[in-house]
Amino acid sequence: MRCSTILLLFISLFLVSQAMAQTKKPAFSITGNTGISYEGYGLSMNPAGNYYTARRPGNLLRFNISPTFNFGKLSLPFSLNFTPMQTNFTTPSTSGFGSIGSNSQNLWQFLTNPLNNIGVSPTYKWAKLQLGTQYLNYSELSTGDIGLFGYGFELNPGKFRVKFFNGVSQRPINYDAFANPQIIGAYQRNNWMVQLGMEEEGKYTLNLNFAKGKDKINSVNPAPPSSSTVLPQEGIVASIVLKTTIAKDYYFNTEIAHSIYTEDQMAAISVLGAKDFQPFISGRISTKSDNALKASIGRKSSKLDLGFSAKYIGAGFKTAGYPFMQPDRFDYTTNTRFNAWKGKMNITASFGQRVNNVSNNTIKTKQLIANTNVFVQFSEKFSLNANYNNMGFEAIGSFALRNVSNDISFSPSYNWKSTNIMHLVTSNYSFSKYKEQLFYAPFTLTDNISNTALITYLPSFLQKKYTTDFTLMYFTNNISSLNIRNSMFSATSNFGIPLAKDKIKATGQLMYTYNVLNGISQGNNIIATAGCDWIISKKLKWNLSMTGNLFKYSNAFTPPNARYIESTLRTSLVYSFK
Amino acid sequence: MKVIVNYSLLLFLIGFSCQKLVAQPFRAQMILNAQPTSLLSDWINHPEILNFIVTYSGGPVGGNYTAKIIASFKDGGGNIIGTTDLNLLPNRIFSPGTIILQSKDAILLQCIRFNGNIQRVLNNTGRLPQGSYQLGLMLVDAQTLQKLTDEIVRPFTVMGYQLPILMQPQDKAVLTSEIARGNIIFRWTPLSPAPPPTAIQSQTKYSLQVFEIQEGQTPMQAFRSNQPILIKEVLGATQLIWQPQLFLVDSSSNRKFIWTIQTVDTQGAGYNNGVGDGRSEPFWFEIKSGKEILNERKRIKN
Repeated sequence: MRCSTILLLFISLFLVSQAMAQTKKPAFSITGNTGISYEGYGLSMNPAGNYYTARRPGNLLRFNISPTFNFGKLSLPFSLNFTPMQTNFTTPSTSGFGSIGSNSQNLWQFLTNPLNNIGVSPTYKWAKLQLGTQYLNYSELSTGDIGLFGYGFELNPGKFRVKFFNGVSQRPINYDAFANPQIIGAYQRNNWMVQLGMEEEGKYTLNLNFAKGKDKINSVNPAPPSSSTVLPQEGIVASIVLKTTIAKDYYFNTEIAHSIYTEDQMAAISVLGAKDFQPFISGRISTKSDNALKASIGRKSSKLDLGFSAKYIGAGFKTAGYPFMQPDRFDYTTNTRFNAWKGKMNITASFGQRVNNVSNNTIKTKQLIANTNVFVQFSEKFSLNANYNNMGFEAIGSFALRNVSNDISFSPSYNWKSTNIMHLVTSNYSFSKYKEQLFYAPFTLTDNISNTALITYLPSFLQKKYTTDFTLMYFTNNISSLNIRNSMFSATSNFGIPLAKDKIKATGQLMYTYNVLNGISQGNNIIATAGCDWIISKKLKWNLSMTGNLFKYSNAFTPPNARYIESTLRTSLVYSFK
Repeated sequence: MKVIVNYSLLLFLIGFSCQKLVAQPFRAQMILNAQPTSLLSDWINHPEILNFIVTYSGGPVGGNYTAKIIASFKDGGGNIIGTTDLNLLPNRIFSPGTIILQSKDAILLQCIRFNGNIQRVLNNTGRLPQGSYQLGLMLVDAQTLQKLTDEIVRPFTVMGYQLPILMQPQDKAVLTSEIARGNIIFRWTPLSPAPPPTAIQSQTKYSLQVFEIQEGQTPMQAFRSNQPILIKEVLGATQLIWQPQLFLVDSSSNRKFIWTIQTVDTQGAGYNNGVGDGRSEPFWFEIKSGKEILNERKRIKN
């Protein structure tokens, strides 16, 4: 109710201010575009079986209507990107995954489905009204990962920043034990977020963020059972963000955040445990609170980048704005980028470590990440890129284990010009070693060694508008401890041909792959794609792409000589207003 | 001698009869899951974790009886780390008969006062640190606080798990289309520590899930709303080589993907560690042609 009052007040001020400000009749224009796209997918297997599963919905229709109406300084950008179908997997669907295409969602579930964006953001000078679906990023530790359906505003008068939004980030789905597969359900999650701050471009940013997420307990009937992992949750987070230029080319950025999060709103009120923060959240026996911090300092210029960054996420830190953020960790990274050898060489490198389970509540693990990339332009014709990656993961104690990944790759490229053709040959060799070792029963040691060799030839016809390229690739993966050697050879060609006075561009790709396991053929794969982009008029474009994927297993497979064909059709029609 | 035996027998019978007369009217048993979730507040949602069976015989006068259940958490060595604050603990009325109490009735977590360090950890995380513990339950008279049963103690162990962390492709990585259309190597760290092998599952089961990010979608939107283009179960290993069998050329075809690992428990559900669905923090990557990547490197150099 309070939020509605704020919103109504804001709308009134917004309309009055823009009416007063417009002394002249505004020029009207429409920009943006509108379109429709369709994707059809088919899978045929011979013999029928379950050795391969469909990986796309059979039909998927999407509308993308994004016009922007401009009335002088007032603009109305619409974003209507939606489909009448449901393809939800990580968030529940009203009919459960496996019944994709069902239209049993009600209007509210349709509007709040993360699959759909239905929003408009009227903007006048420094004021923006936000209605419908919005993806708002306030900061890295408060909120910013998820879409919300609701209302709010953003005001940027001078150096001041004021933002507010109230919306739904999770639609309500009833629990259904009898559905097949079972629908686990989800509570409707309401979110509120506020930001107050100051900013001067290139000098500093200072923001205070506050965000709250709360599941609405009576939004579903029946509700998910308490024994399920779907519990009605509630949480708040407050953070302060500072970004500043401390000297020419030098920066310092930081964010400090504190969260209070209740895993189960139905749990008893806590007397001795976590403290509440009234009127925003009550402390319950399922409430936890913790801190998070991130900071970076460094120098950034055209010739040299040098930086250090660190991030700490407490074991109990949780925010509804980043539902998948992994807690209980501390990581730091140093990185650099600079040119050498008279500007012919560019080097980027980073080195960092991540410590997991900092709280010591369970086994502590460490992860090492090191990366170096060197690019050398020896001449106009010849260049070489070399890359090295090292990633290590180690757990110590009675459950000790170690995973180490070492990857090195070289990518030389050479180009030359003949009378009518600019030739480019790029190649790549990659060596990758991945070792997994358990220091407790069953004491397994798995050594993966992969080699990839690739060469691509791209001729560019100077007099013609044809485009084409050819690629050959060979890949092996050898697991010595298991006596597994997997090899793959592939050949690919792409082409593009302009037609009808360049109004149509036909494109295609043909790819052949041959797979071998321990010297025994595993099967052949052919992927053929053909498509075209047709500029029907200055404002109207049509795109069509069809892909056929035939995989034929060898007689070493069960069932022998089985095969499947996947067919995918994608088409879209887009009208640009300007 | 015979007289002595008779007197002894008589004294024994008298003693036995008196014992019967003052015998406690309560008997109790406790069945506790040996490895419950470390998330203490979640015990109330799982009736299978604790069963405290109380039999009240009615006593010599019969009728209801008002008692309290004192719960004590102890470390592996038997030292108390948290116990019920009797000032906060409400009374419980027992009627003659047998009743099975579960976690939500037998342990009122809101009334348990833990030691400083454990209380601090619980306030931060809601979880008991990994280790061996004991749980003791005892019935006392609500008025006199006299013992109605001996303390029944059962050991339990809690394990805290760290979900896998994605290693490769790294977040926001750019892959070369010429290589990626042949194969993409996915690597992640293992569930840590590894859960003990069971009869159903000897190795940790991972489900690799890859989602295509459609035109106009944010990575998280695609993750939350699209059908995965790949769901592949991997047993024990932390690497998978995927042959996408997709049309991958350059950035003009807008090929972006977001991926995660869902760690699956013995029941086939996401390894929830008490909450969540067992999915690790997802990473996204995009596909560009070798020529585009080369031009980008030249641009950065200049």
